[in-house]
Amino acid sequence: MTMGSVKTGLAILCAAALMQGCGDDSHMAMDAGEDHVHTDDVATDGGADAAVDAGSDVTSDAASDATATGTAVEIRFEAAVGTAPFSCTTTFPQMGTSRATWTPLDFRFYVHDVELVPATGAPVPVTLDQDGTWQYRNVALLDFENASGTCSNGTTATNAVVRGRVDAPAGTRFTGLRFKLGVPQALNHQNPAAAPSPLNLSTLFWAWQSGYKFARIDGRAGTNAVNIHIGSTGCSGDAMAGTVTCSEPNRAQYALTGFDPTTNVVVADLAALLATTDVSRDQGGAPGCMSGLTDPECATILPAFGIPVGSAPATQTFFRVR
Amino acid sequence: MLRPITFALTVAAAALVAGCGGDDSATVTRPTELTAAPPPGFPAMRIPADNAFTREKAELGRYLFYDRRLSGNETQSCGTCHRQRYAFTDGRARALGSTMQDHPRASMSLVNVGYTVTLTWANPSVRQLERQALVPMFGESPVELGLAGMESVMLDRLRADARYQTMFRAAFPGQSEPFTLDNVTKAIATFERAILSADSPYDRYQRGDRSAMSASAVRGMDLYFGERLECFHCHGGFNLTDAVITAATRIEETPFHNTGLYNLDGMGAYPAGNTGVHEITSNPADMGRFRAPTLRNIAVTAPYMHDGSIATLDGVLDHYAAGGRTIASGPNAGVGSASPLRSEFVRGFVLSPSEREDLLAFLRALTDQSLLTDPRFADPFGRE
Ligand code: HEC
Ligand code: HEC
Repeated sequence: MTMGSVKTGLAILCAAALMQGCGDDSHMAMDAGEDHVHTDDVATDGGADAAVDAGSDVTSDAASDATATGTAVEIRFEAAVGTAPFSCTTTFPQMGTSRATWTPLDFRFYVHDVELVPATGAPVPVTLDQDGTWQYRNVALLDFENASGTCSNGTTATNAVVRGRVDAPAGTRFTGLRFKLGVPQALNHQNPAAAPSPLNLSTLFWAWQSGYKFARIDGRAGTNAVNIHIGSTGCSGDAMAGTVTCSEPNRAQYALTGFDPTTNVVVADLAALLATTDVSRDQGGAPGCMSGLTDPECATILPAFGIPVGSAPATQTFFRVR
Repeated sequence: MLRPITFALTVAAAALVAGCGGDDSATVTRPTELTAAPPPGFPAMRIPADNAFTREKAELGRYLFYDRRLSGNETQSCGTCHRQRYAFTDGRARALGSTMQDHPRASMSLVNVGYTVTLTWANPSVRQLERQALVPMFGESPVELGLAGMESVMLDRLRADARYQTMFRAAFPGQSEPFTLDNVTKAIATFERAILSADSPYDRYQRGDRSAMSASAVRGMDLYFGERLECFHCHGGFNLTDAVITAATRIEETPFHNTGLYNLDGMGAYPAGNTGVHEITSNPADMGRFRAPTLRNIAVTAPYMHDGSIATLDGVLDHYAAGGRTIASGPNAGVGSASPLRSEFVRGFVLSPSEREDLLAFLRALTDQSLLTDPRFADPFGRE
């Protein structure tokens, strides 16, 4: 137990140090109710990957060692398209720069290293319930498609809630949320054929990149397929020897303010994600954005996730608090 | 003149053969069952600790490799694109998936693939056969077997077959539920490790049978291993490729080369969607870098190169003789020999007509005929 809290403390320190690195810590605390820009932990600098992943490792160890103590928390997510709720049985007009009509095909993403930020004091890691289905160690799958309508390649089961416990006095008031997109480095390159749920879904395998699709948001605008598959790219090394490193880890990191888990939800807004992209035609590379740095669609979609392309900083627009 | 490397191999092979029972005749008895034991002259294979080779696993893997229930619409198996008679390639320029989607690249030979350090044409991170198998099964761009989202459907299909009930239990003894994706990939990989070939005329010549190759092929071998043509730099060693890994490997090398096959823009660009290692790393320096495939059985694996863009071995020699191919017109026009990214070992050379015949005779001497018909590797369903 003592060990556990030491480890947890270390994770917070690491995370805090990283956030500081982003340079907008103070700004973050101020305007409640707005989401904030966070540069991806690693995309700009391969060297930072190690630091972040070391942090993840510590957290995941803590998660698997910890017995279920602390205060239960639920972090609710919602998939939306602008003001409309996401659904597989309807189409969505006015998407992207060409105002195209979107036919949804899939909407799923992984998050990890979830932390709640109290009104005062340091962020507290959420130790995820090991539910055997949606959550494993420090990673959770959020799944908004239900295999109905046009989402025929999906799964009927859905999940919009991250459940866990925080080591904080009962009645602590939280005002912010932090999490990272995707599967942590420590789990991303293990053998998916032998992985536990939710890391065993073949539609989220990304075998040619030796990892997982962190986000899979597919759709069609007219006849134009737009597949948004975000994951680590530029990977080399030997997965079984645990030596895979990726030049573009693409684990965007989010810090949302004005978030109280008892009253707020995190909205993942597809219309906002695609606002600056022309979805009606593919301008090259993979259909949509499969995380390729030179894919024209990725030039606008990756930054909307908070993943910079090139030297320009990225302002995430996908998540907001409601 | 033989290169020293060839000499060393010959000596080692002879010693090995001699070691196995004191008979140093060049004829080697082919194994009668699937095995990953190194053929004469080959080093031991690196096999993952969690997937030890067993005959039962390899035999199960053979069935799975050829079983069309391993595709979403039950029209294709691994064996559809990796056909024994073509040394486990498919005879097409580019592969065609189960949903009729074109693959951007050509199928690859699986001969001696257990010794390959990086799998597929140009991917530095796909290292294990177990992991590679997930790509054709679940990949969606392009779709090959088209199983994404259907892993339990596929496992149910297998479970319902009485033969697999016996075979899975024999291959994975003591497991209460052996029908898992992990076991499917382990069995297939085990079969792949057994696809071993070392009985071409060239191998027999190496083992001391001086009558195994014609005089012309022997002259071709000297050209191949000579500094003028440089083929052996990238297609050398026991598997005729530099991209090998063995049980003894401690320092892994993962070589990739740009042979000047394309030069779209004067800067060395390759056609979009087939840019080699660059497709994975986005690093401009990786443009056009591909793994040198083994040249074993090369006479039966036409058409050639990653995109099947060269129809014949003669055409391949033209490409290397020019120090990189020139395409005069069309969307891929460009002068490969002027590519700044081309390997320094692709420099061009002049071959007399008889030298060209000799080199082709040598390349044809790399075909192991018995491999193409060995019943141990054949489709148990009798279709492919
Ligand atoms: C649709 C045709 C197709 C099917 C089906 C297919 N493959 Fe392949 N295979 C290919 C192509 C094309 C490549 C080259 C891929 C690349 O470079 O991107 C390849 C490459 C490989 C390689 C790498 C060989 C090397 O030398 O690096 C292995 C191993 C392999 N396939 C095994 C399999 C297995 C096992 C299956 C069944 C589970 C399978 N393939 C099914 C077409 C196919
Ligand atoms: C610098 C390394 C290098 C040298 C030298 C080299 N090759 Fe290659 N070879 C490769 C690579 C890499 C490929 C795959 C290239 C591609 O598909 O773009 C290849 C492909 C081939 C292929 C087609 C293989 C297949 O399965 O489609 C043949 C045949 C071949 N080389 C023969 C030769 C011969 C003969 C020589 C000597 C004249 C030679 N190579 C010299 C690296 C080399």
